[in-house]
Amino acid sequence: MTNVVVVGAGMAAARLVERLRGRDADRAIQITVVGAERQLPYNRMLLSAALTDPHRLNELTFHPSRWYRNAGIDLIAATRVVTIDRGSQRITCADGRTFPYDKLVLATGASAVLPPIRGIITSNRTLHPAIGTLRSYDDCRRLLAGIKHGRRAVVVGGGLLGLEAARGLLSCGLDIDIVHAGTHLMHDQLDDEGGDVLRRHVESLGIGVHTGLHVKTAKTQGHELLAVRLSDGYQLACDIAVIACGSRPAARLASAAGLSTHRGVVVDDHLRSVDDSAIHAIGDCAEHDGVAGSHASTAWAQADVLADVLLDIDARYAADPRVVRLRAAGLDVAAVGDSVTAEEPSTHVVRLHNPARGSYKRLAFRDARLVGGVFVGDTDGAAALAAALDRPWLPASTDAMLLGTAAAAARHERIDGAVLPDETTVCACNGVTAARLRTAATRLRVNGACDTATALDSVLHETRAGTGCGGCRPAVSAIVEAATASLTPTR
Amino acid sequence: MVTTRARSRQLVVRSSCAGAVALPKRGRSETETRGWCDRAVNGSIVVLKPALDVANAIDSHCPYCALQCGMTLNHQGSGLDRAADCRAELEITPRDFPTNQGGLCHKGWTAADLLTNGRRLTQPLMRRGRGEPLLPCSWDDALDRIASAIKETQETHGRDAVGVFGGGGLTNEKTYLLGKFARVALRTAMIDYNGRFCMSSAATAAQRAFGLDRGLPFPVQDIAHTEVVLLVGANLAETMPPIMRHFTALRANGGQLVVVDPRRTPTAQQADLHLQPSPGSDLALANGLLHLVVEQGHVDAEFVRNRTVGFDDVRGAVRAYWPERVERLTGVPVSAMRKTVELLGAARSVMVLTARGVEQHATGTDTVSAFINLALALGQCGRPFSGYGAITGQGNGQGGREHGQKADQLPGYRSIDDAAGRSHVAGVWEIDPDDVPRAGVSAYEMLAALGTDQGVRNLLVFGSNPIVSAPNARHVEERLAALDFLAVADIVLSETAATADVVLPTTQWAEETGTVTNLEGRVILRNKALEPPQGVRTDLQLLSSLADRLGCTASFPTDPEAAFDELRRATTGGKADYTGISYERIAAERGVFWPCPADSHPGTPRLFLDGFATPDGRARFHAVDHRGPAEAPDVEYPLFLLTGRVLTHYQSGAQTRRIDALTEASPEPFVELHPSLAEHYGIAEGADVQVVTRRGTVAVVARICASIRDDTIFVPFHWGGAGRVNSVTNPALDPDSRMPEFKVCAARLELA
Repeated sequence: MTNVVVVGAGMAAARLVERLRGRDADRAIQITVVGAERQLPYNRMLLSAALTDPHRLNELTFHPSRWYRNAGIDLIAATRVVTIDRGSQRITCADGRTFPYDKLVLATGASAVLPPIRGIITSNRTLHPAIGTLRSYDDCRRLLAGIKHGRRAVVVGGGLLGLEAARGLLSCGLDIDIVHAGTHLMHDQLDDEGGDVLRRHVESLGIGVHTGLHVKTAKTQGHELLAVRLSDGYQLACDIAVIACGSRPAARLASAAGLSTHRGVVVDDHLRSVDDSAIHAIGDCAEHDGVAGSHASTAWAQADVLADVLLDIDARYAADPRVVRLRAAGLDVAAVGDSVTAEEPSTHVVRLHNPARGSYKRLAFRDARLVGGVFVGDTDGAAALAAALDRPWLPASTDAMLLGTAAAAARHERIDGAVLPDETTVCACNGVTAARLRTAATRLRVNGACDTATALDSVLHETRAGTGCGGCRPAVSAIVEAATASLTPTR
Repeated sequence: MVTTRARSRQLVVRSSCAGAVALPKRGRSETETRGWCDRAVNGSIVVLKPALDVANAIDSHCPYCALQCGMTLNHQGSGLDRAADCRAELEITPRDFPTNQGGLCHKGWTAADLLTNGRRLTQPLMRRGRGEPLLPCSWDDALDRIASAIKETQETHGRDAVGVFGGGGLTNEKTYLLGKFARVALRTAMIDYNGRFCMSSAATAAQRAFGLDRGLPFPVQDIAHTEVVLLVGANLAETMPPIMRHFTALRANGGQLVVVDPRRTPTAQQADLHLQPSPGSDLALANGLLHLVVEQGHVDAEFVRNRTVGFDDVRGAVRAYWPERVERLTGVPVSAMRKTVELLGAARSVMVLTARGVEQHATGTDTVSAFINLALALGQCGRPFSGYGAITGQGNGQGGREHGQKADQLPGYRSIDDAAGRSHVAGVWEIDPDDVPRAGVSAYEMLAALGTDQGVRNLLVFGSNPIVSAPNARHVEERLAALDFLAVADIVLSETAATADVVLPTTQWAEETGTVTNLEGRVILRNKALEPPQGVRTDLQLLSSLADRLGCTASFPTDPEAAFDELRRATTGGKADYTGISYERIAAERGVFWPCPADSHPGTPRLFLDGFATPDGRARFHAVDHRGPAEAPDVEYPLFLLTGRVLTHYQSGAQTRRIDALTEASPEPFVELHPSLAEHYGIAEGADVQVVTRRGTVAVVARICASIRDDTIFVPFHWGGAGRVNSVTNPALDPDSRMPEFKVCAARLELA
């Protein structure tokens, strides 16, 4: 029986143990999960949405505790791991408990980057009560408590998380300002023009945007926040501040144990530490091929591969084209693959900006191959772009990505019955061509059979057109009308 | 024993031209109506044609798909029981039956052609040895040969070395007696049928959710009266055209149609909203829609609390399917999913209908479960004008999956392992319950093991053409060739029949009376309109003769009504209870919906109104997870290959490829590909190309089509030989239903 211990009980860990148990029906693997958070593993992606809808905080949990019990998974919450003893293959927790392992998985996630703002850390080295981050359930609870008494909030950081947090706080009825160090919002994914379009969307929601500026100081008075001072000297009055300046892989435990860490815990294609074959890392804390993950889909893809690896099934992790999507009502941004925000030689871009509709689309090509793109305002093409990047061996038809999928309902198009070519099959159900319909209509009419309405009836009767699915009736009707209209009326 | 019945003659009356084209939606003015008549009659469109000669008009139903359009068969001339050699033509006119309301498609209109165009079997054929040709022989010789081959195989290799392979086109009477023949005369466990390739996923998922599987739990006429239909993996405009009038009426009444299909089919073109997921990702889409239903507060909490179990697990499971993730998995834009959920949430009644597009996958059962979960969470099951339904495809796909030609089943939709069921059926069969064999293996498993030591060595095939319709068909063909003996009973010399040792010619649909159960669970009757040619016998006759030769004393009635009466008794107490259904009632009541447990019972058009068929009466949610196609595209095989149907051909094409009007319309197999692929590979419209997969190659003609995804190609499966697409499909099986993954595999294109 292999003893697998997972450090961290976030999204990566949850996915890993789910897949592991799903494939290990014989329970050959003993699974222990030790997580610092109090809560059962939950969907971190939906935290910002919970700002708008607090009751959804109760609906984030993936599985109830009985699920873990039934699956024979030992889940230990609210416990921080402090050391890894690689020699004796044992971890030690803050409360003194130790756990032996055959295989150790580090899924410690990432922690919020706290920029050097004076005043945000109090004298007892905790975050000021009116200032928060938004990485965890507890963070969210804390913010929600603060919101009750607040009227103005400042969000520090205009990247993905900052925008989501701002949107969430906006629906709570607060006045919001975003302060962003970069020249334009989401500068990691967007170019100037895209950033501009996004800014206009954000401002149209009533959120103030201040780019190219840092927050230098937080002006506090006891438990209250009064304002923040910006690098240009100006102040923004506020009573809550949310720090959303990015995150840093939580790799301290690993580095203290002597494992290579650079951006995160360095792992190979089997998600195994390059220094210790008994230790793996997945999710935000792991660095594969120079890239440290910060995305749930990456974490899950890695968890799936690692589950196979732990079961001695041959599997390798290869990074998928990255899709970054802003989840906020009225703010639609998707960045897919390599957006190539800087102009490099051998790259070129195609941009489609429709100011009237507030949509901006940019596809990036390197050596004439599509490598990525961004969509602001209208993101329907993002899925097609991601699919195209998934299959680089096929040509990518970029029309649909730029111009939108052709979903116009042709059925309401006026069919000009006079000009539809003779050989067109009008009734597919019965294989009736326009020619046949015209002949029948003309003959019936010339024979003085009836007026147009009953001519149509007779044509349908004779040719069987329209008796199947009925979808051709508008076309049949138009053709008969045109054919009979050209004849002189009978007595 | 022959019973004479008065055949009902239906007067087909021409109605005034009632109907409308492009009927106004709610809110639009009447003056915008276009077409030849502005009145809608009950929202439906009716076109009727008078019968030419009322005295010779016989009521029947189409021999093809599960809609079973009502038809009238008209003789030109004198009467019914004419000698076979002066058979005149039958003319087909549509009947105003609730399902088709006077409509027919091209297949239906031309269905009588095969009766008289000289392309059907008219005498038994036998080959003396391998390598010898098939030559005409007498019925006695043919039947004697089959019986002695059976005895030899069973004596040498045991009873299970003889197998039976049936079909979803066989009537209820034939299905029932075929199952009885296998278990009582042959005493083998090895019987299954081609419906395994059709309905097994939907059936398994419906059973585990509702305790019962009846494709549609309501009549098709209800469709016009619901508010939103989510139609998933179904191209009805081409596979069941006359049903579309119910959808047209739906939209005329202000309802909405949402179609989910990777191709922009004629059905998708008629939809209000079309979602085009990546092949094999429908389960993720369903979970994603359910995630949004929960997020937007559209869960019917009262319904979930009072009429279901298991929602908590499913709600937890779909937390992982947030819209952006699902967009990544399926390629369906978030905005389209949100729009769909908006429609679903606002509607008072919703129908969720699935068909082969999402069921013929190795994840088919779970995918259907995901859609059932969606319907249940919305509270849209077990109420009038709403519900989950599967659109059965084969003519008797419903009845065919109830009466025992399935490996694990006894008549009345009983499980072969259920003690009470075994006891009851054994009683009707007049055998000891212990003598009823246990469950056998599924269709592909049986076919893949033919001719091996552990497998079937002697196979009897009834009304099926697996050489064309089975997945991984080249392998199946090899296996069939490895049999010690193969006998095929069919109406034409199909690809499979052409390889047999003995071929028995059987009657066509208009030459025999029998019941089928249509997609609504409505039992209907086809009336004999024509004597078969001399030399052709009914399946009932040949089963009786074979049973006799095998020394089996059990009853094998040759009269259809007697067979049906026995079937009724066998179904008593089972889930599909036909006890109260009789030929008289069917004629008088325009079909009777099962369950109908007594003569006095009216039948059950709408199921589940008072409770589901589970022990506690509650429907069950079933948490499922996305897995994707068993074989995804890669560098070597970069495209998704989809397979499916065209309007003018039916299933393996054995019947329709022998009818000129239909082959003229669709003469050859083709591959649909996007213009950018055509350009990339240098393929012109009409060029000869090869579609290649890990299983083999199929030769087709290129059709360039902008409405298909640029990473997907589509090939219809109605042809054999070099154009047989099942040569290349993937036999990956669904673990619960044993359904093969016809609908997706990885392929590449090559110029021929």
